[in-house]
Amino acid sequence: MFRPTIKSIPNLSILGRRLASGRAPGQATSDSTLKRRPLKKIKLGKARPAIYYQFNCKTELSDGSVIIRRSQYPKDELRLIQDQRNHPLWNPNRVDLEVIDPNAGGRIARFKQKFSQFDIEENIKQDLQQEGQEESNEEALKSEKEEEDLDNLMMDEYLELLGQNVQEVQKGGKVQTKASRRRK
Amino acid sequence: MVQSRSITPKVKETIPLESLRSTLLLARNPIVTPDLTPFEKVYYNYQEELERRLMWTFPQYYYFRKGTLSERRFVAAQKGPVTKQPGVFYEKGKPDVVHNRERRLKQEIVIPRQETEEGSSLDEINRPVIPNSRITKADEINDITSLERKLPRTLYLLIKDSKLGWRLPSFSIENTSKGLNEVAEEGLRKLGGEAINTWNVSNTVTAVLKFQNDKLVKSDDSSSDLTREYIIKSHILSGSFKPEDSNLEFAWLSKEELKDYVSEDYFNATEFLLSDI
Amino acid sequence: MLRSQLLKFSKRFMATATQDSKKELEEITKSWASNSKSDSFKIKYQQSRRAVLNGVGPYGPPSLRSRRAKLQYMSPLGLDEAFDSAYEILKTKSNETYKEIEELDTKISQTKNVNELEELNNLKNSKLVQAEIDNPEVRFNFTYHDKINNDSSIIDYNEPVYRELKKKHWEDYSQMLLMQRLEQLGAIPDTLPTLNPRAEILVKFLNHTTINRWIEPGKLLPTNATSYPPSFKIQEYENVDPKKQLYTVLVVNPDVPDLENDSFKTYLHWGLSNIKLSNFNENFIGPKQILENKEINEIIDYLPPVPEKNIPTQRFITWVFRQPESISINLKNRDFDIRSFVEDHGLDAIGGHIWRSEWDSSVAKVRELYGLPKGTVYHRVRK
Repeated sequence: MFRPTIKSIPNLSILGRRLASGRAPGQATSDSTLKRRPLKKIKLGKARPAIYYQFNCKTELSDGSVIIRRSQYPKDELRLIQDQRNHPLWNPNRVDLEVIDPNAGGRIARFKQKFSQFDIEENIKQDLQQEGQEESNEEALKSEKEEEDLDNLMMDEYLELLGQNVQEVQKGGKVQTKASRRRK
Repeated sequence: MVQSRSITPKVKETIPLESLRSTLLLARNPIVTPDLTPFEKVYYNYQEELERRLMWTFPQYYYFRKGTLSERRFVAAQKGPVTKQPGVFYEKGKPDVVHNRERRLKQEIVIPRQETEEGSSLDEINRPVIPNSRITKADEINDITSLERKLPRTLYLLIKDSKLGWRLPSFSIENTSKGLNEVAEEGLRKLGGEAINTWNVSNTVTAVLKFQNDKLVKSDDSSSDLTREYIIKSHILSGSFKPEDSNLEFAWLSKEELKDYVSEDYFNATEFLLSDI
Repeated sequence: MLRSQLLKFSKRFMATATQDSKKELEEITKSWASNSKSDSFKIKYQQSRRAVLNGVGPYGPPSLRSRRAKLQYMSPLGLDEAFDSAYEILKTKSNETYKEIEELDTKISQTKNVNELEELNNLKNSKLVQAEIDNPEVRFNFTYHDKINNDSSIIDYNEPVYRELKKKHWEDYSQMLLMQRLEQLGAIPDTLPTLNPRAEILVKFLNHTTINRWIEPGKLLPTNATSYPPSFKIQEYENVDPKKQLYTVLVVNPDVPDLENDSFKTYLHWGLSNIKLSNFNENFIGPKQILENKEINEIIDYLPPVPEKNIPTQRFITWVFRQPESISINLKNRDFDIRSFVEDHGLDAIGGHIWRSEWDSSVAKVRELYGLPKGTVYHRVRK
């Protein structure tokens, strides 16, 4: 390992220079590792295999079946609510385990929940109905287009809520560049 | 070009479809771990005691931090070791106590039990875990039609034929459009209702039983008037066998019980398929 | 005495006084299979027997000496129940094996074919071993008592079990050691081509006080130790009839210098034949046995190792054979071709042993003792 030569300090030997923390110059000084106490000397013949203290833990799974497993954690009884017995992947023939609605816990649902006071969808629907009363015959044909309009209107309303003068973020490309390069 | 020899044996006559049957070996796997023999219990207990004696001291400082309430509860629940006092005579030898642990003995940790309040609901997550009994009601009544009998054993479905006695359910093959496994499955559902969920181990036949005039014959027999029963192995996953026809006698039996119900020849021919656990 | 010391002494005295009140010793209710007859299948010392079968009692284990250690002893938990359960299972297995032996006995009494008889006898032997090998008392007896100079009331080599246990013990170490020494010192290709060891041969020189113990194969012995004939112990492990089988012992030295041929020749230093062992325990052939038993034929009298100076270390290989018939040869010439001798008499080599000798200060005395001429001094050859 290359050690930098220090010419200006006459009293300390060149090769053996280390900082007070015990690290060589150039090594990172960090407190991310906990300070280790010196390990206790294990005399000859006194080494013992690592047999940790373990408890026999009665574990109740989600379907009520009880298993005894060994663990180091100081608990005699444990109850699980999500495990193999109520997971659809391990119980393919059970229909009651799978949650059908895919959007149930998603972000759109969360947004709707948050801003339910504004009732966005209802307002839009009311507007459309007023317009659609005139063109009642063509509703069936234009049902697809209506959905599109609905989405667009929702977006406009959303933007209104946010405020005017919205500048969209130009995404893509390098976000952070060196000042020298930017100047170029 | 090398002349190829025919590998399949030459059969002079074709085997009629009526002489072939598809039999179902429907097994219910054990629901609990197998029962230990008295020797096994005593042996595992001894081994566990040895391991407990060798276990390192429980690191109380790691799981119960100093000053916390849980630490206080934990310490209150423990029975500490007898410490070495000067001037005291110890009959069993002077105690060797290090980190609150007697080094000559196994360490016994007592987990503090949470006191259940009177108003606690049945559904509380911290209610004590009480496993159900391994001997069910069906065991006590000895109801052989029940699937919840003999939880640590494998049970097999047997049906009582009016002429031939107790045997595995077997079905005749109508046409060659369906495979043996399909015939067996459909036959089972016809007999026992649609509410049975089974899983075939393989579509390949497990074993074959050869009969001549309704009597079992050796497996290497190749006379012309044999009835062949091809056994398909499958497991019942859920549901139950509920025959519409109330006269149909059926039973879910373990290997030893099967021996008593079924004829000796039949048992000797099918013994290897049945599980001892 | 200080007051505190007095107090301690009195406390201990008080404690021991209460302990001296008799504690009940459990009766030994356990017993091995019903057909197990020999006394050597039981532990002789009653306290040990009780400790092994019933578990360590209130007075502590008998193998510990001090009373303090006895009282401080704590048995591993769950051991007694596990032992009891295992004992019952092994006992029933042994009972079944004894039943099989009874059936074999009836078969043996009925067969007349010699080959079949031999097969059945071997099977019976293995069954007898199987019946007793799991007996904890037999295992205890074998592990904790002298195996070589055995007390036949404790370890009885007439019983197939003990022979089997001893055989395993021999194969574990001593047999391997012997073969290693024979091969490394070149005894095997130089005398007989090879050896398939089936019996354990132990060699001792009784007259010498410091070397009055069993010799390790390959040991370099001083000449005064080997000045008188050695004694042998032939421990057979196979199922032979000790009352009928005859043995031959030859002590051969392949390193005698042969000046005419500028090579080495083989001398027969001692030969004994028609040796009979009365049973598997009394298998020691020493001077007493040779003098008492008139049937033992001495092929040639004992010539002690008298190596000359500057010759390579001489090897003295003891070969033990099973004789098919009586051999009453008396040789005069020491020049010996062991391979032709073995072939001529149909001998079956079952075991061997080896020691070595070098010229030392006692050679001259031994030569004088036996009236041998003075040995030549050879020119030293550097390797």
